[in-house]
Amino acid sequence: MNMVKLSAVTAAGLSLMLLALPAHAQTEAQKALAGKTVHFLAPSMPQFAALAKFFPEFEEKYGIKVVVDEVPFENYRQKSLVEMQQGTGTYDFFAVDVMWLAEYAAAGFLEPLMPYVKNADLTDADYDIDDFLPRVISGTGVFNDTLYTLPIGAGPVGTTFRADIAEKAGFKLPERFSPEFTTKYMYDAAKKVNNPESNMIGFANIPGRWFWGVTYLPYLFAYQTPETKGDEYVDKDWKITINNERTVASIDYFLSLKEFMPADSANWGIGEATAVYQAGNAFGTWNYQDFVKGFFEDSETQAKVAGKNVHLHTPAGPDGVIDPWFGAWSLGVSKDSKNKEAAWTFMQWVTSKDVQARATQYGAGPSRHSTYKSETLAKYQPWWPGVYDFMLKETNPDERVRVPEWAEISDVMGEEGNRVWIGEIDSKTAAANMEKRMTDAMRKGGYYIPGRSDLPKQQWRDLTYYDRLPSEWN
Amino acid sequence: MKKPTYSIESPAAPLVQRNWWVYVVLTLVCLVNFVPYLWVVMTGFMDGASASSATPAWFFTPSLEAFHYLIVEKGIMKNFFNSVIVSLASTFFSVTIGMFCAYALARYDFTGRDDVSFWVLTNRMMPPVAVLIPIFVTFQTAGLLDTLVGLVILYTAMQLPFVVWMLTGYFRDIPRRYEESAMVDGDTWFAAFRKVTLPLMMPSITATSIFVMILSWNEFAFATFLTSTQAKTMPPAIMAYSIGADIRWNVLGAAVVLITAPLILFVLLLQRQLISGLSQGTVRK
Repeated sequence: MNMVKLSAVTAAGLSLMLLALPAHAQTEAQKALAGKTVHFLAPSMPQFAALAKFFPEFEEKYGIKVVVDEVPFENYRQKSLVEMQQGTGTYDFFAVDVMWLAEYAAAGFLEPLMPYVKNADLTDADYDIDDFLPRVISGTGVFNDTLYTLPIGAGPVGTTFRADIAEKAGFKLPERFSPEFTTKYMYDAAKKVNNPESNMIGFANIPGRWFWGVTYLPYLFAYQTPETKGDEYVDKDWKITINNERTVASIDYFLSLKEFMPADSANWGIGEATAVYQAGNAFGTWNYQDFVKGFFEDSETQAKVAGKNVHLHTPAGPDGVIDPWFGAWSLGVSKDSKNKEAAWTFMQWVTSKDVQARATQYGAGPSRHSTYKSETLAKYQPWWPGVYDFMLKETNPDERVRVPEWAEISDVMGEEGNRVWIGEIDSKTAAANMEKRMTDAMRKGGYYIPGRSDLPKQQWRDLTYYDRLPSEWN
Repeated sequence: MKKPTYSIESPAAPLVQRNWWVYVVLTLVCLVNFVPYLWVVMTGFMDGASASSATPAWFFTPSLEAFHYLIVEKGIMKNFFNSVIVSLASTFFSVTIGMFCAYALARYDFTGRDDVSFWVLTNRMMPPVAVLIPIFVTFQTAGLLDTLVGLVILYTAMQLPFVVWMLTGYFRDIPRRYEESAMVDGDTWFAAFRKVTLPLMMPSITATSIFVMILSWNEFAFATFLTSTQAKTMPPAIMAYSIGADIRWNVLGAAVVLITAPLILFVLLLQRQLISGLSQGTVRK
């Protein structure tokens, strides 16, 4: 047998042995959990659908059954809140949106996770929590220096445009993060191709009341100047600052996109705008990085638009400021779970390097350095590696201020903003109303009690707080 | 030989309708009502790409992709059977219990009868969301969360006011003397009720049952919050599987077929009873 043949046989033999061995040996504590069932409450969204593909593999490996209860996104928050507040223990772990973390953690609904991470009996040896991007894990799951949830994808919001339509109209869209892509550029480009008579609208915006805290914020932040960055909503003393000319200008810009929209668009949410884009009837629309594959690039279901898109950041404002948006969904163990260890075993497995990299094939987003650098991600979601540096250095996990009052602040913004969209009030009145109502919310939260010294730190003013190594959190 | 061009009509023959335009209008109204449903059903048989196409296509290659997704991948038939059990059981209990309540309200004079009658109606006015948390807590305490028994009890209680209100009117339309005659012949009130009133009431009871069944079958809010994986019924399951952050139109279409088909079948089977029940009491004897 010559050397080549011998090498080939040896390699084949080794490969077979490697395949036959389990990737990680299970600990005795993990083996003892076989036969348990864990219940997971999740909204019906593409990234959770991607994870569901791995349930059978997990069940086979650990003997723990995962039962997922999918709830429509619109009902998800109410349903999870009712379950958590009543302490039913029906669900062992929940999907948690980054903007609800403060509220859930402050109320004691979630179990601190670091004791589990450091428990070698329950966590695989190569889990390597420091492989998560620091801002991603701290931005997603840390409240009061304690880790409560693990990210399953975090990213910026952006805009998606049809490159082929731009080309037909005689221009080429810029690269992601190019300074050329400004609010003015976006408006002009949308206007150039806007042709409702031919079923092509310039931009499918999302002005529905609930969505302003997601779709309008990129413009509020883009309209800041380098000097006003950090004071978008509150000053250093937590006094609301939103009533200013930058807010008014950003609302006016958001409203200018109404020109491209049908008359009945006042309640359009993500579903409506995305459907119009998917049908090939819009030049551009809003996106969240984690939705890109499922919404725009799935050639089986989005045949009209898949492969024809350019995915950009949201545009830079008049002073060159871009939105430091940070969005994330994560998994948190319920304080009332009766199967916390089994739930953790699943969570550490599904957020492991191996599974995270493989899940990107089905649309899951990256949260780990290793996932960003994986070939699977580059092959199946090539629009992700371009945001690695942004997620590492630029993103601001506190864009949506991490206080329990955020849900109300966001709601006020949506209600007043939507009133402008339908023509009930003007943008100046909306900014004034927002300031008044947000101030009331903060007052109710006790932020203006004279002499109070335990107010939360405004971490967004020094983002190094979020750059700690993940393993350093409590 | 040439055939005569006239026809001979018997003087006793029924009048031939000459107002053909009525049929044209009726056909148009039916079309306007039917086409959206037809379109949804067709969408259910399209693949993802055709369903989200900007240009409506009347002709396409049928696909069972959406049904496969719902039935095989998501196991929606479990939700379907949950819905069947909950709807049938709650309809049976609410109609049975409600029938006796309605009979008592229609036949007997007692103090506060009108108040009871009005109170029954006000139960129907309450928006579900107003009582969601108390009911959730009650279910939690009683161990009824995510159980079919819990949903049956709740839906029975929810539909009772409707049943009582509907049937009270129908009972009042049946002359009391029919039962009195039976009682003169030696029957007890229950035997008179069973042998005389009940057969006369069957169309009304059937019509009421159909409405109750539809209400139970389509109930969404409580089913979403009070169930999780074991007792989840069709409406929340369909919403979860077809409407995420975006809408999968073909899945939604298939879901509409699955959720409406049993109801349509049910109504078609009982159509005669329904019409007879709805028209009962419209002509005073």
